Amino acid sequence: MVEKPSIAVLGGGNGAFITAADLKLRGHRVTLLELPGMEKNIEGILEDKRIELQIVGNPGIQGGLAHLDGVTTDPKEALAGAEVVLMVLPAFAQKPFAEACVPYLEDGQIVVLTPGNFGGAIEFSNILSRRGNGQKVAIAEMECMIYSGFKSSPCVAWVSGYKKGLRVAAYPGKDTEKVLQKLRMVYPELRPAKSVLETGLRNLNTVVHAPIMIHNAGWIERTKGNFLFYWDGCTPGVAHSAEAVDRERLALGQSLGFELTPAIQVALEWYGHEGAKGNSMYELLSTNPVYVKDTAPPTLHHRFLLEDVPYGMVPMESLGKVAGVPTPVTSAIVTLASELTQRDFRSQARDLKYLGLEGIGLQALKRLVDHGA
Amino acid sequence: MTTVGKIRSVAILGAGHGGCAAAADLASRGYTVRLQARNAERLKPLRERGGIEARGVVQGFVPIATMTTDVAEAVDGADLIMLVVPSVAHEHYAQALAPLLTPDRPVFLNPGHTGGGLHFVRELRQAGYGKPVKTCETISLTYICRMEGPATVGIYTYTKKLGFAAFPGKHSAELHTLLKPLYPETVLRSSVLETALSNMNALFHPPGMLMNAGWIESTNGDFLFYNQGITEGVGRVVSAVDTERMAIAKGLGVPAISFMEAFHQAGLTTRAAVESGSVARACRESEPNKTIKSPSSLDHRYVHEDVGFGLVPMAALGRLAGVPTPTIDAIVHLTSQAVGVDYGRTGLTLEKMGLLAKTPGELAGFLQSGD
Repeated sequence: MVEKPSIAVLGGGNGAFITAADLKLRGHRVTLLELPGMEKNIEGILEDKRIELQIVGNPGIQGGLAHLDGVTTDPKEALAGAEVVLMVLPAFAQKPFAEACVPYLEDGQIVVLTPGNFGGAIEFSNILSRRGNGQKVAIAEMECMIYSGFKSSPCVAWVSGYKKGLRVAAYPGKDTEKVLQKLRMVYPELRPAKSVLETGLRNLNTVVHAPIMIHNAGWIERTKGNFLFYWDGCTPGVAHSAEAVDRERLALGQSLGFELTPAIQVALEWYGHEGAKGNSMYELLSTNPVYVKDTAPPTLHHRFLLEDVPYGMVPMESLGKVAGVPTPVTSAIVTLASELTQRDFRSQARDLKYLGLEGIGLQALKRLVDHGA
Repeated sequence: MTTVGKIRSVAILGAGHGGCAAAADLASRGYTVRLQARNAERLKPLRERGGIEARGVVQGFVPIATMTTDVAEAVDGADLIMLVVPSVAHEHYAQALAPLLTPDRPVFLNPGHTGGGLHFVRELRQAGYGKPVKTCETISLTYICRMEGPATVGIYTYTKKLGFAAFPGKHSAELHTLLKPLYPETVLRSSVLETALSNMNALFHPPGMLMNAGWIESTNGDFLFYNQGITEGVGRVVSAVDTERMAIAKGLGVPAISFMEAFHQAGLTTRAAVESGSVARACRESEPNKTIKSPSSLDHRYVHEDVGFGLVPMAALGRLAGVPTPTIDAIVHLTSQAVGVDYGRTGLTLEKMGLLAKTPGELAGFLQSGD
């Protein structure tokens, strides 16, 4: 029997806890790394290394008490011997983790950003070039995080959703098949994407979160998010805006040669087995059983804007400019999000300029993501 | 018929809140009023009553001699034609009036909001009326009012310090003198461009609607629009729209005061709130607006009127002036998607205002002469 790959999970939030617990319960060796200074996130599991995984609804995975092999703030300790490194982090945390970990990566490791968010793999690769030791490491991105769920206490995580068939792309894209061979030993249902541009564009957080936030900004601020984000907040008019963003995303994908899947269809693929149904974004999101407990953020200063705009929507806007595809609705949301939160998202974004690719033409960009620098 | 020095009879086109308020008010003060509405159902209760029951600054039953669906009947013999309809209806009425209008009969758009007169005149010309025309308008309705029953109107106050202008501008003084006895609280402004850019409804209704779309649709608007719906973040978007509006005014050489100043001057908020700079606070501390509930759906004039005939023409004027309007554009784009109406196309464009080929330099002359 082939031994399951050993995993290092980077992150101390909801996704990281669920990932570590699930994979441990399935028989992998699992370590978890949180950065020094963020110990508060792992204080509940630092000593006995146990995460209790509870199940909500019908995600199709087993819960239980997972006893991790390592819980630490020491990157060297967490990474030693790991074959697959899963970065289960918000986009803005990818850079600090990359900088902390890159010196301790080992030849042959596969680093997977789940999700990548736009440019995650490219940013990681840039940091590896600058601060690594020339290690032969594969870098890949998943289009989205596999799990939906949350931490209910310092050592208990609830999982309500598990997405099958997520797409992964290596950076550069020519290494994708090779990387998938190993990754399918962790998540058998993974599928390939053509490049990290495709995985970036497949991230539906970009399509759904910010429009719902913008259209409920008053409700959020006035009641501190005292309503259900999808079930109450995603009304027909709100869903129309999200659908408009989705159309821009699909047009952009088409112009880059990707056959992206409309958001509604993706949601059915991910959550159909858990009872999600509907023919429109409104029907689907406002009745999806997976979202039954999801209350709205208590403030506008939440990753649904703070992450999804600079790491999703602004990059989409910048990619649209390179590809010659207009994105007026996406741009509208960026503008309003910036004013609502008093942040100039366009100057803080991980767009092509930030990645050192300002002025790159479309063909050169495609060559880069497919074949490398 | 010679130009009238004094108004004696008024054709009021539109029998909604404003039209009924105007009919009751002016008839009670001795003017001959002919009231017109497109919809016979709207007039039915009034016809049954023989008039309108007024409450507030006008009190009592006011008989209205003529109530009709026929525009020709309404304007026959009228010294003044008053349009008291949403801007979306200006086109219809321009077409209806084109065969009936004469150069001596002024048309008063109550209100004109943004670009009402410009639009009306252009539609008039498109419909074949080629003779001289005199129009005038107020920024917003001359009354704060509401229908309280099928034949009852509450007229809470006359709008104070209300901006008034004429198009063509050469008739400003004459028309203001003519209208002053009817509406003494109006203040003459430099042009319809100035009044166009003073439309405050267009500033805070669309952000309030757009950024509470979920709340509105999910609860049928079960919250207080100004008091609860205009939060700090939403207020910041209103401020951003206001900044763009003032930049457009500056770019076109037109006087403008900030939304907060105007809000305060209209008696609608406290001095302290204005000084704080927080639009959210100004709305919370707006006594007259305290109990106003949100619309129960996005299908409302706060969207159709204030975006299509408020923000869209403002942005169009911005383009004419070379002033970028990212926030206004963002609101127009997003509202169009949410509601499924392409306001950029169906709303009041430069072309519909008769300004398509105009440069900023040509604007002043056009506003003055109408040519």
